[in-house]
Amino acid sequence: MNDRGMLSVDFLAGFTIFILALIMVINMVPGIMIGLESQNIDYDAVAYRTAVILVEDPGWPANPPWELEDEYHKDDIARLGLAVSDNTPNVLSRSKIERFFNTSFFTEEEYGQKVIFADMPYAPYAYNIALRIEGDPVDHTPLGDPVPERSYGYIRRLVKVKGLHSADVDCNNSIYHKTVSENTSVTNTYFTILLNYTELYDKSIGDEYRMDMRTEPMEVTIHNFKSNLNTTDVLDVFINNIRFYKEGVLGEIPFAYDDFDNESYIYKVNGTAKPLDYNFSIKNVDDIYLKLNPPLPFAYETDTVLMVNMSLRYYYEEGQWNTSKDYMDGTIYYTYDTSANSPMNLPTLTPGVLEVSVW
Amino acid sequence: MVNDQAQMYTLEGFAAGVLMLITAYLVLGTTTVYTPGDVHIADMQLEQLGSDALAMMDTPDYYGDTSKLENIILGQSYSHAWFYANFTESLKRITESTDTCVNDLQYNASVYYRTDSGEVASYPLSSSIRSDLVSREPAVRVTRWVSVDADTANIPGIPAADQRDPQLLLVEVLLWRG
Repeated sequence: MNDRGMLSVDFLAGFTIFILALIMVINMVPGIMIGLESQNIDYDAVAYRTAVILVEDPGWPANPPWELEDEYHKDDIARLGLAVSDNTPNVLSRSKIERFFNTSFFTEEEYGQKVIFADMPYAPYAYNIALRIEGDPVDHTPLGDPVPERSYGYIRRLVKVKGLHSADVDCNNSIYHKTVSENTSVTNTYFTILLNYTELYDKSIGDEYRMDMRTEPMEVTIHNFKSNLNTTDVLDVFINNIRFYKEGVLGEIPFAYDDFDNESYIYKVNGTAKPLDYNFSIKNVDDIYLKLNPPLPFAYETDTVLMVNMSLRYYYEEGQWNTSKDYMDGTIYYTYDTSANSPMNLPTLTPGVLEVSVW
Repeated sequence: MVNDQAQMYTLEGFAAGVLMLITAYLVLGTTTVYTPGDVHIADMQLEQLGSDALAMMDTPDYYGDTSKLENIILGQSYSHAWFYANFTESLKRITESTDTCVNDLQYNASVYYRTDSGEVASYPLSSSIRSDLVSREPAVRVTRWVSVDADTANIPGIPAADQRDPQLLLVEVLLWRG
């Protein structure tokens, strides 16, 4: 017997260790690859999730909506969604967009917490959120950093942006012209803006077309006042004040009429801002503009009728008591009426695109 | 006569057996099926884009207005050109924040409807297929239910006997890169 053709135990042990080590190394290679691959998938998923939150969700809190929260209550905002409501995916709210792209209101960390949902501050994502609205004069600077050259997670969503509603009252329109032949030198008249919330919150009208006074401003502009004034008869005309009334309730609604903070309303006469209490001559005034910021008084009571009364006082020539006297008067119905005589500009949807990149 | 010819030494044989078994186990264990990670993500993006484009074409710009998609279906001989213009314009819309967007997309759109006898039939609505096409990428399918209020009950593409008012149609678009 000899030991030819036989392996020594030392060699076998060494070879075994070597083979085991080799197999373990080979075994680790796909693991390394999977690590690389999964990161890329993760970014696409984050971008997709972010876009879904922005485009299909109205954010939280929803009632009152998050975009009405001020600087001191910013922490109450849990989620930043841009959709008009849960029922209107891809239709975005203009006021939510303005607040969302306001980088002086939200910090980078807050975007990370409230829309990207990164593990802040330990694992922040870099991101770029860009919105373009067709033919829109407002340029929304993309949020975040410039998109890198290397790979990143990406999604593009097509959207429509709900515009604001307003009323343009033209004094040329004969429905606001009244004539009186009384022996009087003074006439008090009212321009009343009437908002019937039952009509405005009509459930048969989709959220994307609805005029919602809880979240959207009311805007009324009275045009061509001076050019329609009968200056041969009228000595002067004063606007006494603007007051709010609720149908069925006596007396005006308590409101900070003398307040001049631009938070609850903007009232401009020929482009100059005034408080609602202001009493002045509008004989030489052409445009009167009133914007009530949301939520409007009683906007959460769906059966309320709100009246915004603009009280005018006309002074006529003393010697012409027997001639007819022109004045402006009437009710501006803030409704969905789009007939020829209606002053309403209903909300329209403008196409746009939202792109989210995450890396 | 006992000798050790053709016999295995116990320790070496055992070690070699273990070695072979471990090797086989590990080799089988390390077998991975390679799936290209990007493909389904790209499909998801394309599907979302197509779905959004159809949804936005089916959302009227004004209260009480008819949607573009409905107008296109009722659009007589203009159906193909209108759909092509609106759909491709939607697909190409970007913010200019990213310039690496690949927008070479092709589509084939059909409309499905229920016939008078209850069967489902279809007719072609529009297509961007080039005549020199020899092969194509895998397509994704996006659909949209459209309710067409045809007062005159005249939807081009549907035989007169199968017209209803209102008619519920399924617009199906196959979408691919290429």
